[in-house]
Amino acid sequence: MMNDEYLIQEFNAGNVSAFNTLVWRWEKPIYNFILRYIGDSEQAKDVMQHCFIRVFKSLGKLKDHSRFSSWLYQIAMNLCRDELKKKKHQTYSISEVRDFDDGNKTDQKIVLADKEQDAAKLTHHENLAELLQKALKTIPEEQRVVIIMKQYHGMKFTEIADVLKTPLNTIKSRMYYGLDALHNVLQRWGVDREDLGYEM
Amino acid sequence: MKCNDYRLLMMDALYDEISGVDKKTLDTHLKSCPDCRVKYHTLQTTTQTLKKWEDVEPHVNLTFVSQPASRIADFFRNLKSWKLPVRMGVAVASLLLLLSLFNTKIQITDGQFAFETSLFSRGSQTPSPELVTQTDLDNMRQENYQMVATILDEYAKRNKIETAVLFDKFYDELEKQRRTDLQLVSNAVEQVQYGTTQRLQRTDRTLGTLIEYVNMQSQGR
Ligand SMILES: [Zn+2]
Repeated sequence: MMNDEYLIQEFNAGNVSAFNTLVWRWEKPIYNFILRYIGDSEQAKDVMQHCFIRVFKSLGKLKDHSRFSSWLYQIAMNLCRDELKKKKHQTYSISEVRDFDDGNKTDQKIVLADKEQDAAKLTHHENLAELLQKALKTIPEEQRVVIIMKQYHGMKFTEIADVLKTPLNTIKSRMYYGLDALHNVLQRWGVDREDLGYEM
Repeated sequence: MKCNDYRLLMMDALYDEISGVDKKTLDTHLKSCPDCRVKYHTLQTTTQTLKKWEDVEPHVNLTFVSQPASRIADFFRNLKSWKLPVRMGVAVASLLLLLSLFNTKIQITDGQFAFETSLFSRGSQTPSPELVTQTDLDNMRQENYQMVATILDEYAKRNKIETAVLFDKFYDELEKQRRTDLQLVSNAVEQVQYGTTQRLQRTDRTLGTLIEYVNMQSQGR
């Protein structure tokens, strides 16, 4: 079995195809991570590309090869953050900028985003992915990333704490508030279980 | 414990990361506290909803190729910020790479360069490159990339300024040459066989001078 650690060793010894195997193994999870984080498929492709280029350039410097996946998600996450920062500078309206100046009052930002969504009213044919993507965007980034890592990448809370360099209990607490906020958002949008395709 | 204190345990339970003891503690509380029971149920529902959002294929073909030619291009791009002796090293290295592209075998042993070339040999022989397949070419590039790395090290170690003057002159010419050659190689190998005799002869003259110089330098030590 060619595990990641073996492939990294091979790559460091000059075998580029070993790196391609790594890419092939990780591109789907990393792409989906980025996509859920920033919410735009074209941008996600760009960011993914940057991510693997950065990995290509700096893999030689990774000392503990068993930490590869954590390290990889760290890189992806940092690039996502950069990307969102870029976006904020480009497209934020005055009201949104005002909210960002507001440091800790993230709740206010959520309410504002919700109101906009309410006004638009979600159409019935909107699919689940789009719906959840929108919902994810309304919650604070620090909660969003924990939810994505936990829910879609099966990472243990301890791993997430490691990647985010944040205390374990803080991670769990962000998960709790994130889920809670998501639930509230979906409820406020009038999304009921039928919309989500549950068989009751 | 207050209700809020059970939140972290709920997270553990939700994702099966809870210990037996904690599970009992949580269960006991949930039985006696309707608020937390509802809360926990809501959290479960939300995670079920999230679970329905499936991964998608990226539909991107990311393939990393080992291409010395492009790495050499990077060398040149970074060259200006490098120290002078290293620059000289790069100039020599790129020269050797050029040679390698035209079926020239280069060896470096104890700082002595040895060139063995069928293409640029002195005399009246007509250049007849034997770049058979792309694979051969790739292999050769790969090998010579290693060579370039070795040579760079060599030059960094030697740190000799006097070699700078001559090599500096070559540098500009090499840069021009490099562009033409890389273009040529990547576009079509067969171009080498046609209509480039003149260019090859020009290269030959340039390289010939440098080869002599390098050998002289090497023997002189
Ligand atoms: Zn309670």
